[in-house]
Amino acid sequence: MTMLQATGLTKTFVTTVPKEGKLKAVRTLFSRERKTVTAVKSLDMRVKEGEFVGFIGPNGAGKSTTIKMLCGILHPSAGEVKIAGLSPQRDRRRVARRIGVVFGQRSQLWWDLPLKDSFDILAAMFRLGAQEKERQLAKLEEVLQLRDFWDTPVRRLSLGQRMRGDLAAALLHDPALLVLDEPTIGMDATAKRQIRDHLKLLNAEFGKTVLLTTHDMDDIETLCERVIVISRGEMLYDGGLAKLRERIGLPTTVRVTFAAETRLAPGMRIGGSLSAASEVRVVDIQGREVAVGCNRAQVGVMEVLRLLSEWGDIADVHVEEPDFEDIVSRIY
Amino acid sequence: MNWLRISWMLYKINVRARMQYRLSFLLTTLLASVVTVAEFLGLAVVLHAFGAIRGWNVWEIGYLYGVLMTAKYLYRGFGSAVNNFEPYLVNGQLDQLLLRPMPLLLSVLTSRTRMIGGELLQSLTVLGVCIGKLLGDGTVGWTAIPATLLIVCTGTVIMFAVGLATAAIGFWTTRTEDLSVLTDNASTTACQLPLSLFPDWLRTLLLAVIPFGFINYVPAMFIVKAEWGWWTIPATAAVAALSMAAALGLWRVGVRKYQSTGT
Repeated sequence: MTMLQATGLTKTFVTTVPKEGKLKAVRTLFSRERKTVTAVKSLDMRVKEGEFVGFIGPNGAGKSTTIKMLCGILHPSAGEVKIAGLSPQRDRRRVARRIGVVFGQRSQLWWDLPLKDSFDILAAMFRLGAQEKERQLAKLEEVLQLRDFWDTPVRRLSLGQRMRGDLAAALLHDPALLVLDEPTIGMDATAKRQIRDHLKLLNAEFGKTVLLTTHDMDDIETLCERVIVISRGEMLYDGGLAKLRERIGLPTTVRVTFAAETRLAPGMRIGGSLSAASEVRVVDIQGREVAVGCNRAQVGVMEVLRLLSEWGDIADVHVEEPDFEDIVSRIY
Repeated sequence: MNWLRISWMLYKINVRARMQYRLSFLLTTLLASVVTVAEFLGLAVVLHAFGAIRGWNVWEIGYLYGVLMTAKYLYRGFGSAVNNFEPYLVNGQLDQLLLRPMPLLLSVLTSRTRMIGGELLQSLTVLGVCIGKLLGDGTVGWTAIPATLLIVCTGTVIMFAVGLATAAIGFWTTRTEDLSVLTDNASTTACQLPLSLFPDWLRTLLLAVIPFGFINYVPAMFIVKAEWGWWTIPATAAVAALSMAAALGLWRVGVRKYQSTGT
């Protein structure tokens, strides 16, 4: 069954171009000069019940805007969204009962009150009876272990605890779809791992459909069977993680420090005999330090070093895998 | 009414959250009432010096003041979120409220509470004393009391409607603080005095654009001055209803324009 469907989803923002110089605030206010920014460009996506989908893209790609249209916070400029058959814009309140949303950078909990008070309020808001609420809390307790800290005011919880609280708050009304916007942001490795385990359980054991945006590649790798990549508001890729890897390969930057300056220049290709897919190209030179880019799926680091050593004696080597999202946006 | 119960629950929660910072709460309450008292004393001193302004004596002007301020603080009490709407737009606080299965305006109103006990007591005292005096010297009859209660209600509705319209304009402009200084603070200050003192353009503005004149001046022309007919009361109610309808319409359109904030 289709849980979420977006067709031709588009969002444009109209902003006033700020003026410079004297009285700029007043002149900006009365300025007729407008700039239209397209944040999301006719996006089509479909998520089936029970799926765990990663939604990724560089900063400013339109992820948050898309998410907000999916939950009914923003109204699309064109196109439409259906959550379990309902429009989040026309039927906002009914859709709110069917989805649970967590924004990693913002909490929906009552900051100054103990966690369990937030659950009481939300239960009343979603019209859960006392029994139903207890049953839900017992279920969530199994997955998220909240009781140890639910008498503590939310502002005094650790980031990981707060996120568990926020997850529980989003799940209290037993929504079928869970939308998570960077739930692991700012957490240390242990907390991240914990949250991931919780999310996995929610999907596998409780059958929740999950849509997750994150900048953390480990989140994606451990959780998502499918990824949707967007950049500049457009869909770049929609499919399995393995296939995306295959398409991108393993782009790697090798930094070497030569014993003396070489005749290498930026943009130069080395190892002329190699095919285009496996080219090794100089990306940056700073004195004796030279950075070359290559695709590790095609050409091994040892081979790159062998090629580089033809240009001079190598004193030091450093291999780095660039940020996944950087690569994604660069490749496409 | 289920929503009423939840609103009450949220109100209590807000108060409890507020009480976490008891000292700050006490200080704000104290300061607010000092400001109200000082404000009225200023007005009273001026009036006392002049005796009367264009046929309005101290008690009559005190009546205008009392009605206006009571309406203002009632509005500030339950419409505090609308009155301070800018952070909802600038910080994207509205996002979370849109995810609740409640009518949006109700979510907004219940998301913030300002306790106005002190200020309300001030303005009701002024109003009570002035009505007492006017009853005593026979200026008004007993019917003035239910009529005053009614116009306090319609006045609160007018205040709320103007506040809501100002907040709704924020969906286009994002910033509303400067605008609300004009629509709320300036208009309120002007309406503490009888509108007949003002030049035509200002009077028109306060009757037709920001209808604060209907909070106190127009109905007082019937209740206190008996210069205008009984029609002022239904007219006041009609203005309140119309302003409310217009503000709600603007709000509804505005919500579709909500831009939220980037993360």
